[in-house]
Amino acid sequence: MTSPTKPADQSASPAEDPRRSAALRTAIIMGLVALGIYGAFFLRAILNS
Amino acid sequence: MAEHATHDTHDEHHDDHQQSFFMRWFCSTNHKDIGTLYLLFSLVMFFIGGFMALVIRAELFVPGLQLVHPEFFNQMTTMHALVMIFGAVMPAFVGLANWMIPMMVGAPDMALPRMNNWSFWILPFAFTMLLLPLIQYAFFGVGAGGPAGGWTLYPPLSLQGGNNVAFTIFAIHMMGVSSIMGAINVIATILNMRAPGMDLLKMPVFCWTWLITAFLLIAVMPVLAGAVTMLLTDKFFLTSFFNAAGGGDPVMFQHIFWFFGHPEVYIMILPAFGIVSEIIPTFARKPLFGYQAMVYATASIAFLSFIVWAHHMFTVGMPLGGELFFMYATMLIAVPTGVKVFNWVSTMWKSSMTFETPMLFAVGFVILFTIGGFSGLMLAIVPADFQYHDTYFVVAHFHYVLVTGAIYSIMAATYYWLPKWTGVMYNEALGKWHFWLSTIFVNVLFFPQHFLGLAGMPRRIPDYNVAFADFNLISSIGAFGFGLAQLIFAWIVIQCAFLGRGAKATDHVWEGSKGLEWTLSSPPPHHSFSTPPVINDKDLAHGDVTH
Ligand code: HEM
Ligand SMILES: [Cu+2]
Repeated sequence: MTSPTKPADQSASPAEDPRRSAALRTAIIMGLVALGIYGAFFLRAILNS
Repeated sequence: MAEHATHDTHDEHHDDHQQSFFMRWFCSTNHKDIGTLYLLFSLVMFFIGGFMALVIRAELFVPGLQLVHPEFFNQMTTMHALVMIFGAVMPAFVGLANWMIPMMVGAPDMALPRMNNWSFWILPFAFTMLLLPLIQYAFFGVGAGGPAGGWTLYPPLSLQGGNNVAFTIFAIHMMGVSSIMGAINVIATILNMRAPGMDLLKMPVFCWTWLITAFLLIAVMPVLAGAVTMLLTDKFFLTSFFNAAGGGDPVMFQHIFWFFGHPEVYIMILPAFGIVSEIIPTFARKPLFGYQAMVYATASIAFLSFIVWAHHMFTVGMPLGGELFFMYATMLIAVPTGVKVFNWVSTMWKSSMTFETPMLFAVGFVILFTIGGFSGLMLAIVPADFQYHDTYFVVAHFHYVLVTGAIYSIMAATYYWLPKWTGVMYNEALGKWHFWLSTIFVNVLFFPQHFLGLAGMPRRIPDYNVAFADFNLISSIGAFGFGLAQLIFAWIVIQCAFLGRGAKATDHVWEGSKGLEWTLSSPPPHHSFSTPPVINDKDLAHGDVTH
């Protein structure tokens, strides 16, 4: 293992971390799933009305 | 969107630690600081909810009505549950996730740090909303008080409250948004931010249980939100979702609520399983027995938790086929749960154990949670549940799984990681006092409730037949003893976290601890793993999955 105890390495800016855009994609998909489940109740209610 | 991703990477300028108090805590995007906020919030809520519990037990000390009005008593039972579930247990687990998951998987922070800040800061507002009607009533004599229809919010009863209905529903929506955002962050962090070489099946079990919990949250929090939105429109906007007079169905609320509610109880116990699976191997100095079995058992429990909800409504008048289905499906959960219990026991079997406070709470968890599992199995039997339903037997059941289950795991986790978080070793002697007093009194408190339930004492009532007097007296004594013991816990935390009093903790803290978090200093630097660590399988707690 490297020595992670040393203070955070400033050279690797997390801004350039490609994992972050992938993470954002995951987050958006999960957010849409949640909204979809919530919305489904009201879609049904409206269709039934 | 890519723009967004860039902006979330807040941290560069924060390293100097020269931020103002406001910037550090209110505008925090650091997973460790946000974890601390969640944990402190949870501790405060634990004491508020605990105070309500003591009001309940004080009233029930002897038969008759003495301290509070029945209406206020009902507000206490309702608010106690809501505060403990949504304010104490869930935020504590999210706090632990925030602190530990990035360090365990070798990520620099949670995947979406600014959303993380939002997830937390919604909560104080949500709980102000929730508590406001009660505070107004209790301290200023204004209004009719908080919700009193039970935490399950069954209509039509729950809609007969005054304006507190709107406050409660608004608060629940906010808590739901907070939980969903927290869950999204956990999923994105685990799926996308692991250090190279940290394969999914090398992750600590705590990360696995939280990943699965997060999927449960995303699946069921919107269901709760849907249910309470319909309550809201029924009360204020003339709909009749649950109003039979308007063509609706009150039993439908129960189905929707418990479709959320049963997975919710697993949301409160799966992370606990993860914590115990971290602690037992450390103090047994042996790798976890059956790592993969643990992961698959967690996934099966999560799946089954979606198909057992109606065991909460056996007495509502379901068709026989429904009763049988939900009975057998419920009993099936005992199989993966048993796998877990046997794996913990096998980990301890022929190991070299020591019993520091985290281990005491973990072993206490295994034994006492299992008692709650057994009473659960009894409740799963339809004809038996016809007798037990809505009695103190149910109260005893869920307090064994929640107090000696979920809360014990949170205590265990706190003792286990507090030296890592603060750099200060807690007072071991006080920790042991806390454990033993809690464990004695929690059983004095909840075990007699089994007998009360079997004898027919209903739950949620402020007065009772004199036949139930003895066990209620014992139970109330246990409650005050347990409550007092928790002051020791608060004092221990204050000593480490705020006063810095105690021996300096080493980086490894425990002799048998393994995993990435222990390679960091105690306390860890404000930013850890900005460069992903190199993963060396034999240093991981569960790197070698052939065990
Ligand atoms: C072995 C697994 C379990 C089984 C078979 C089981 C079974 C049941 C059943 C049948 C009931 C309904 C009793 C009634 O109202 O008549 C119930 C209630 C309850 N269970 Fe469990 N349970 C299990 C584990 C858990 C766990 C792990 C938790 C939480 C951590 C939990 C929390 C609760 C709660 C909170 C209630 C009461 C809800 C309410 O009415 O307010 N249970 N359980
Ligand atoms: Cu259930």
